[in-house]
Amino acid sequence: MDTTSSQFEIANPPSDGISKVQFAPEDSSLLLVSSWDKTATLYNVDENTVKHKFEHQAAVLDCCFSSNDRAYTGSVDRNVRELELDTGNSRVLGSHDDAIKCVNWCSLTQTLFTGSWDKTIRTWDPRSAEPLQSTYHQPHKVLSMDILDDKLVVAMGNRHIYIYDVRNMSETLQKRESSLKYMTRAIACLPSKDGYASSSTEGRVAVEYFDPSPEVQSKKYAFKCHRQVHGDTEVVYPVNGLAFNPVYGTFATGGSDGIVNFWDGINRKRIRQFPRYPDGIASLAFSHDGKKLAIACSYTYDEACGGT
Amino acid sequence: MGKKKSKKQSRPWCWYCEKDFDDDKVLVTHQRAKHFKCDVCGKKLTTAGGMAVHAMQVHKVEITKVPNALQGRETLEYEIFGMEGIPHEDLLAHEQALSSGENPAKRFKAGSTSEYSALTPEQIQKQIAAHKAGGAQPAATPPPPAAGYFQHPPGAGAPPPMASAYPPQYSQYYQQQPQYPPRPPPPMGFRPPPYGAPPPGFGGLPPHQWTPPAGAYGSPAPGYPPTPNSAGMAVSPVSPVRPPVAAGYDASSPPIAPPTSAAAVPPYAAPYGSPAGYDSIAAAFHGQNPAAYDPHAQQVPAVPAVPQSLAPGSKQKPTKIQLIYNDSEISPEEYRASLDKYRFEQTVQ
Repeated sequence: MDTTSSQFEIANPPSDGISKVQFAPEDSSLLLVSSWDKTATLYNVDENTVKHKFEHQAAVLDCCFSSNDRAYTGSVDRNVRELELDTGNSRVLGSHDDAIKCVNWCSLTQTLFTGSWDKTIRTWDPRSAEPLQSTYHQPHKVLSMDILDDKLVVAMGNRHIYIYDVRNMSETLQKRESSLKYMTRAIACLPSKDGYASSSTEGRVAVEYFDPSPEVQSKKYAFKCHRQVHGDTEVVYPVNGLAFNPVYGTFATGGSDGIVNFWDGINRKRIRQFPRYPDGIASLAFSHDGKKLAIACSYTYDEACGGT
Repeated sequence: MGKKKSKKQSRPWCWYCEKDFDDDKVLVTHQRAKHFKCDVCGKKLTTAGGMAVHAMQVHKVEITKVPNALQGRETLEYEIFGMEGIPHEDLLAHEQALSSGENPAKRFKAGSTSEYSALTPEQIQKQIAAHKAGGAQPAATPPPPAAGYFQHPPGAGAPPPMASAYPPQYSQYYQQQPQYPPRPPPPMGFRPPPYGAPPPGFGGLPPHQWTPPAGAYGSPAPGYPPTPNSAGMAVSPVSPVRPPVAAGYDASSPPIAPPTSAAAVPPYAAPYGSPAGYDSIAAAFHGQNPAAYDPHAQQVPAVPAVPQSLAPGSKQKPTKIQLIYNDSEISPEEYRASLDKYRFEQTVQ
């Protein structure tokens, strides 16, 4: 993990692959890192120290903050966990029927949304004695989610992309098919709040808009990235990391090729490319002030299916 | 007759030059070769906008006019692909012109352009002679399309400077681009490039990718066919009245960056030499057919003289595609979670 301005590596990284990096909502020194080593670790990146390490029963697939002192994790152990970042304590809010792939905090409704391979999205109110609020069945395994204000976008298997209003989860606002032809790796809402970007295993990123009117839909686009040509073969890498700079609206993508690219989505230009990192990029996160970027450089098990 | 007319009406035609064609495929080929071809490297793009973005991203050259287009049709404003995207009123006007029996292209002819093919060889020779005389170009002739066309990759073989081979309005751009060595002198029989279309041998690579090949490109002669329209440019230096492709620098057109500032954009991709440097984010596609608008799909084959080793990730279109991860059902995380090391048994709880 590194930051952009003056790049440095975090001391005491997790002992196994990283699944997610997240900055605290109002404190750019706090970085939460979930890992396959069954932990979620809170770092103070300014001091480059470990503040707390939260043990889990299995690999942790996602994490998110709700405030500077509360965070949540989803794990292969199927439990939704609340982390008290001040004390280092944690408690289980409840569970899914399969591993939890996504956890997202919605500040508008003060609820936690979790998405799982059990094909459900569940909502949780951590303040309630019975935290589990509702379960919403989905057509496929949840792969990635993002929430911005009242919009929840959910990327699922089979290229489903569903859009919800967080205040009315019983109705799906829009059911879409991803405009990318391969499995979605990451999805993120545009800071302009009018759409989302998604990335796929086939080195491609799409920017799409919520408004179904043809004029707005005509603005959507997709582009190729994270590819390398070796002789007559083009090697195409999954784009695992996708993060918007909340201040400037530009975004960064990180691929299994170990490269981080910065894009200007409005002018459709690449702003910058970082030199290759020693391993694939598993996750990216900007700090709330847009000044820091956490880069999780970690093997993503892409050879699982052997490739083609 | 009536039959013939109706047949003609249905013929696809090119909005940029009002020519009609046998079918859409030929039309698209024509547009790619005549109107959407990058002047610098000869790459054929799919739309005018795509070409402009390509030129901006790869060569740092701003393109404001569609080459070889009729007066008033040089705009990049419309995204035209074959017959798609043609403004409705122009479509109607074209049909009307056809049905009234006149050649729709005619109304553009007067006082505007003459196609290159319309020139007699004598005219061409005369022009070349005038051109070679140095600065004999009619003073009214506006500057070439964009200064960037005269940027040469650093190290593209360093021939003896011979700026005098170019009319003053050409060499002024050299002065703006002192970091680039001057263009190599034209060998015998070399025609002055029509508004700076570079010899194809120089177009194979975008400037910032150029590895100095120590004289390998010292002479553009072998790769340079004897006709100036080899770059698909119908622009003729003969016709002083022809609106130059470059007229984009007049005040009436939308604001564009001056050539120097365009060239000053740092080639951010250069140090990494990754093929990702050519990802044209702007070559947007719509709907479910990304390949149709795929910027890479239109890559022209590399100039054979360019060794592959000098051109990492060059124009050579890769024939094979290898997906690092190719499973549409199961995500890498699921595979990983199923490994013994990570497998979670409910009984553990």
